Amino acid sequence: MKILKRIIAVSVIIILALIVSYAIYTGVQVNA
Amino acid sequence: MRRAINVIFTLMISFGLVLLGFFVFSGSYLRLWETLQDFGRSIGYYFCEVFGIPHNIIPTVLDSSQASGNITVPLPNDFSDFKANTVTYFGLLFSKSNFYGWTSHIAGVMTEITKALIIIIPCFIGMWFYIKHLYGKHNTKHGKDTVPLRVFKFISRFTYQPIKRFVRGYAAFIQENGWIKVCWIIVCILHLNIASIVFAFVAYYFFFAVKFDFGTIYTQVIKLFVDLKTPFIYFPYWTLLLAIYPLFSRFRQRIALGRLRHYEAKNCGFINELPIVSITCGSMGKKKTTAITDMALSQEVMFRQKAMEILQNNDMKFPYFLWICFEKELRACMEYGTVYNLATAKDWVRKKRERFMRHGNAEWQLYGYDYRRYGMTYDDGLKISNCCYKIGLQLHERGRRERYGLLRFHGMAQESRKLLPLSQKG
Repeated sequence: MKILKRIIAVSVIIILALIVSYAIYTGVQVNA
Repeated sequence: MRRAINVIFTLMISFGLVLLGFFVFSGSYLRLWETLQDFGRSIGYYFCEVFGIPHNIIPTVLDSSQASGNITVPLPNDFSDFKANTVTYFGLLFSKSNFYGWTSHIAGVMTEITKALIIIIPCFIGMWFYIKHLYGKHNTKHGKDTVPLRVFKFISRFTYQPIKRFVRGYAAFIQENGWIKVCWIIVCILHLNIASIVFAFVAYYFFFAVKFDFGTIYTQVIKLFVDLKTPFIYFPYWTLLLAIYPLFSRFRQRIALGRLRHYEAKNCGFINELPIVSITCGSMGKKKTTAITDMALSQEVMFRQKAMEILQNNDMKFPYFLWICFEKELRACMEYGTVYNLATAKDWVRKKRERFMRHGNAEWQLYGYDYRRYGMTYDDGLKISNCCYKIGLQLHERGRRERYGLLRFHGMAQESRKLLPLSQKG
């Protein structure tokens, strides 16, 4: 259960990081 | 000698800060002058408009900054451009080509990271095996330093320790002379454009109070971003980590302490629900003693809190009585050995009461309590309490607090502190 929780937490963090990076990338493309 | 070194070092740092202001952060001072002009015009404009004085003041707070003209932020200067860019942004956000572009960009970044990881991972694996091998062997050389430790001590004797000694001594010197720190903080605020931000905000506030033009807020936000960006022309963005880390550390510490307090409150609730007699059973090594001592410590904290509550209630019955003086005298009597248990403490109060009844000297016996003005009795609607009687009660409760206080330093309680370093007792 503990390991599952950790896996979920890490996955959520990675997904959030990817979403943020996509948002920033799009913003940069608008200004480019 | 030490003081002279500290003074010289302080002068060097101060001189360095002044030089930085001249050669590096001169833009911040130009911007500060500009905001001061804006501030003056906005105040003049506000008062002239409010009091109906004829004037020809033109507020300049909305004009783009001349001092920070070469600093740009990745946002349009105009609100209409911002709206157009927002539409373009959301159009791009859900477009397929943009997503493919992003995936190829991420792939490029990942390739770069992989190149570094290929070197780093074998090093870490090698180090892990080396450390495991190092600690796998039993150390039979008791009382002797290992070779790596001796090397470390030798190096640190000439590098780390003198620096640490100097830094700690210098920190104490700065702590002693707080005005130096205040001066440095003021200089840093001026260097890093924070003063300009404050003046610009106040200038805009006065302008907004007259105009109420919400369309101008966007321009001010852009100007704020430009002002905030000024320090980062000279510092890389990652330096923010140095500022953010202590905040993050405090945040996580607060969460951890909150959780510990929550567990402690749960423990206290459990103890309060227990019957008068309870038995702890279990085989060896099941931490029975730990549990019992932990319960004793929690109970002690609860007793102390209850005693404190009673003390405060009694204090408030005679709020003008100088209880702190009474406490100090009692403490002195305990130190001299006049009072060493509850019976002698009661005796001490009885004598105090008798002396007061005999001589009527409130200055000596009641610590200057104006009993004629504030009275010697308290009526709670059920019974009338006497001040001297209350002193006795206070003594009783203080005695309880002291007793529990002493208990902490004896026997099992102390042992359990060693066993439970994380439990937030006392």
